[in-house]
Amino acid sequence: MSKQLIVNPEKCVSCRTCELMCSFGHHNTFNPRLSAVTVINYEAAMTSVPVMCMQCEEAACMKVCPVGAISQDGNGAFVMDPDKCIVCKMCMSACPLGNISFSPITKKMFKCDLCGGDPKCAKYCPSNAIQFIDPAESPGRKKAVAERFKDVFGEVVTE
Amino acid sequence: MNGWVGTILRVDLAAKTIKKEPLNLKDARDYVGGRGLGTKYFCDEVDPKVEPLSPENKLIFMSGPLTGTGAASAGRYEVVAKAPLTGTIGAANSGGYFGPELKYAGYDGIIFENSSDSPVYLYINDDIVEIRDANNLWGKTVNEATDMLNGECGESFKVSCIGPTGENGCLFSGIINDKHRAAGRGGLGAVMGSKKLKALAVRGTGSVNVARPEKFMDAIVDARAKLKAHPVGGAGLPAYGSNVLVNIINESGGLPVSNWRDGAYFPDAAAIGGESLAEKYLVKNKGCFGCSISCARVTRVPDGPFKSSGEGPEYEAAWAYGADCGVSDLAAICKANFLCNEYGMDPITLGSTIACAMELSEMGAIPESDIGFKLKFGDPQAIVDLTEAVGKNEGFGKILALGSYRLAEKYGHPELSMSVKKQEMPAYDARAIQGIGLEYATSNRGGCHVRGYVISPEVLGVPFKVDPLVTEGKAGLLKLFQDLTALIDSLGICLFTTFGLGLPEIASQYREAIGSNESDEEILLKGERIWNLEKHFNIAAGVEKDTLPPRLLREKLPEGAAEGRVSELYEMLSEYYELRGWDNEGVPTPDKVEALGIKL
Amino acid sequence: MKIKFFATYRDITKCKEIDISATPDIRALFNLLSDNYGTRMREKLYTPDGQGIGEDAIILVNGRNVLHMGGLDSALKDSDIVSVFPLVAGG
Repeated sequence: MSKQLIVNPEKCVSCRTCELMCSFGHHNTFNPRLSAVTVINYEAAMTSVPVMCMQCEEAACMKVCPVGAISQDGNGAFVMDPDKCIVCKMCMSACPLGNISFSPITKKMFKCDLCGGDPKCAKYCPSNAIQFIDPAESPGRKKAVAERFKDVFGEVVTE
Repeated sequence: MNGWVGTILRVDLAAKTIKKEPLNLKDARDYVGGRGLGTKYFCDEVDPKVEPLSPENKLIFMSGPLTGTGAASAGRYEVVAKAPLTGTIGAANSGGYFGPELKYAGYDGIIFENSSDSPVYLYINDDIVEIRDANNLWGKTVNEATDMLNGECGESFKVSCIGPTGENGCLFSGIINDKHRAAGRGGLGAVMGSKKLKALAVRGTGSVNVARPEKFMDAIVDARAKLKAHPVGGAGLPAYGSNVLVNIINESGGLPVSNWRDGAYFPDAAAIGGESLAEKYLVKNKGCFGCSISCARVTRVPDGPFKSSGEGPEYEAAWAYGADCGVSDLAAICKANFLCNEYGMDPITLGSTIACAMELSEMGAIPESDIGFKLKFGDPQAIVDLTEAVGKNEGFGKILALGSYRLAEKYGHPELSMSVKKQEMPAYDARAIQGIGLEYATSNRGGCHVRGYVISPEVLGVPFKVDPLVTEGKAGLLKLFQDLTALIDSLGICLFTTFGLGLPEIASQYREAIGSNESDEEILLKGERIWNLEKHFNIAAGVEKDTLPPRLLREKLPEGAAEGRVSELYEMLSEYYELRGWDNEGVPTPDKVEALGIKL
Repeated sequence: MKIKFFATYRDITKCKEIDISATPDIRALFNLLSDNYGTRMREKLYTPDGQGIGEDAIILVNGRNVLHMGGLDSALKDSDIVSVFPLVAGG
C-alpha cells in the first residue's frame, strides 16, 4: 500500500498552517479558501479536525465527471486536469466528504492532489496531526497504545 | 500589493459613514503596520491631550504586512488608542484568527472615529461593510455576543468584541477576539464601549500575496524549522504554555508575593505553575493562526467549587491571581482567568488590583463594609468573587474596576499600587532582576514586561546569559529588545518567535513578503522610530516621569539570591536616555527626531 | 542536597525531586545524573562536546544561576538546593 494522508485529530492545535501551505503551494497566494484541506473546529468538544480528500478507492468524483477530467496518478492521488474541467460542479455534489471546491482565481474546480507526492499539509503540520505515511510500515496507533502499557507496567528506564 | 492589502476603512460612528481609503504606503514603509502604523495614524490625527473616553479619541485596529501569510506565527493584529488606564498611547496586541480574516476581507486596518448614540457593531463581509444595530448584543458576555454574531452573520465570521466591562467603562477592560484572545491591557475595551461599538464581525475570502514567493517560502520554511528545533518553541511552550515560567522565576527569587509586600519567593509556587496545570487541568494545547509553537492552553476544571473551562491562564495572569494574591489554588486561578475572558477584562491588572485591595484591607485602610467581607491575602474564593463583582459592575467591583492606582489613592495609599504610570507591573521582581525594572519604568504604555522582555537574557539566557543582579549593560540590552519588539508588534507576528528566531530571520520574512532590499539594521530602525513616536506622544500628553513605586526603590528583599537588594533604577536610567539619544529628562532631542525622520 | 526537576526534565526523571549527598561541584552532579538517568539526560545537561552546560539546562543553586558562579566548577554543599530547568519561556 502506498503512502496516504492520515489524520490524528487529537493532535490538531487548530493553527491552520496546513490551509496556508496548501493554498500557497497551489496558487502562490495565502488564502485558506483556496486550500484543499480545511480545519473544522468544535469549540465545546475542544477538538479540531483537518479534513481533506481521502483519495477514495471508489472515487465518486471520477465516476461522475462527464469529461474525464479526474484521473488517478502514480501516487494514488485523484487529480483534476484543469484543461478538461468544464466546471459543471457535479464532482462537488458527488463527493460525500465535501472535499471538492471551486477556485475563483483559476475559475476551475480544485481538490487535493497530494502535491505530487510530498503533501505540504503533512510536511508543515507542527504537531503531526496530519501525516503522510504508509500505514503498513508504521504501526502508529497500535504502537501508541503499547507504549502506554510499557510506561505503566514497564521498569523505570535507566538505559 | 504584497504583504499589505492596500485599504484602510474609516468608520465615523456618529455620522454612520464608512469610507475606504488607500493605505498610506509611505507611512506603511516607515512604520510597518500593526502597532507602528496604528500609532502613526493616531498621532497624526488625534490631539495628545484628548480625553480617552471622549468621542474624540480614535480606536484603530491594524494588522501587519505579514498577518495572514504563512510566515512563522503570523496571526497578530494591534489595537491602538489613547489608553484610559494610563493616559499614554495605548496599544494592545492579540493573536487568534481575527487579524488574518481582516486581511482576507481586503483591509489592513480600521479607524473608528466619534461615538454612536446607540449600540452598534461593524459587519464586514469582503467588500460589504455595514454599521449594524447591536442593541440585542449590549450587555452580553464575550461568549454570548460572539455566539450570537456567529448565529446572525454566519459560522465562518471571526468576531472581536467587548464584554460588559467595556460597556461599563472598566479602566482595564480589553477587546477579545475568537473568545479567548485579548488585546488586553490599558483599557482599550472601555474606549470601544464609550463609542457604543460592541463588536466587529469579519469574513474574508480574499488573498494575501507576497512579492517573491519562492524566496518567501524558503524564509518561512527556515523560520518554522528553527522554531521547531528550539527547546522553547518546539517543546517547552507547547507542552507547558507560558505558565511554565512560574517555577523558574520563583526559584530565581523573582516572583513577587502578596502585592510585592512579602518578598519574591512563594513557597506554594509549584501548585500554580505550568507543570501543575498540565497535570491537573490541561485538555490540550492550541495554536493561533499559522503558529507552529501553539502555546495556548485549553483548560478544564472538571469539578469542585471552581468548576469551569476556557483557555489559559498565561503566566502573568497566574501570577497576578496566584502569588500576588497569596493564593495557591490553581482551580480558583483558572476560573478567575476564564471570567476575565468572558467579561472582557485584563487579568493582570485585576489580579494586581485585588492584591492591592488585600494589602489595604489587611492594614485596615478599607472599611470592611466597602468590600462586603473580610478581605485577606490567600483567599481563593475572594479572587473569584471579586472578579465576578467587577464583571457585573456590582458593589466593591465598581471601585476595583478603576485599577489599583485609583483604588489605592481613594484609600489614602497610592504608593501601594504596584504600578507604573498607573498600569500594574507583571510578575517579575525588579529588585531581583534589575533590567526588567528599567523596562517597567520606561515602557511607553506603563507597567509592562512584554515590550522589553529582558527576562530572556537575565533569567533564561536567551540569546545569551546576563546576570540579573547587575545593572551594567542593561540599558543597551533593553533598548535593543524594545526596538525589536516594536518591529515585531508591527509586522503582525508573535513575539514568541524570538525564542528561536533572531533579527535576520524576521527581517528576511518581511523583505521577501513586501519585496524590499533593506538591510536588517534598516528594518530594525523602524522599531526605534516607532518607540520614539510613542514617547513623543506621551510627552505631549503630559504622562508622568519614568520611575518605579517606592516599594521597589526602598524595601529590600528579605531572602533569596537577591537578599537585601532594591531596584537600582537610577543607575540604569541616565545611560538608557543617553543610548536612546534623549536628554536627561528623557525627551527625544530634535537631532534624534530628525534622524529618525519623525514628522508630526 | 536537594535536586529539583522541572518541566521536560520530569519526563526523564519521572519525579519532581531527589535528595542526595552533596557532590563536590556541578560537573560531578551532572555525571551522577547522567549515570542515573541515561543519555537523554546527558544530552540536555551538557553541550554537544561535553565541555559546557547545555542550552537546554538552566541550573540554579539556591536561586543563583551557576553561570554567574563557577559554571561546571561551582562548588556544592549538603544544604544547597539545586533546581534544574530546561530552556523555558513565556511572557
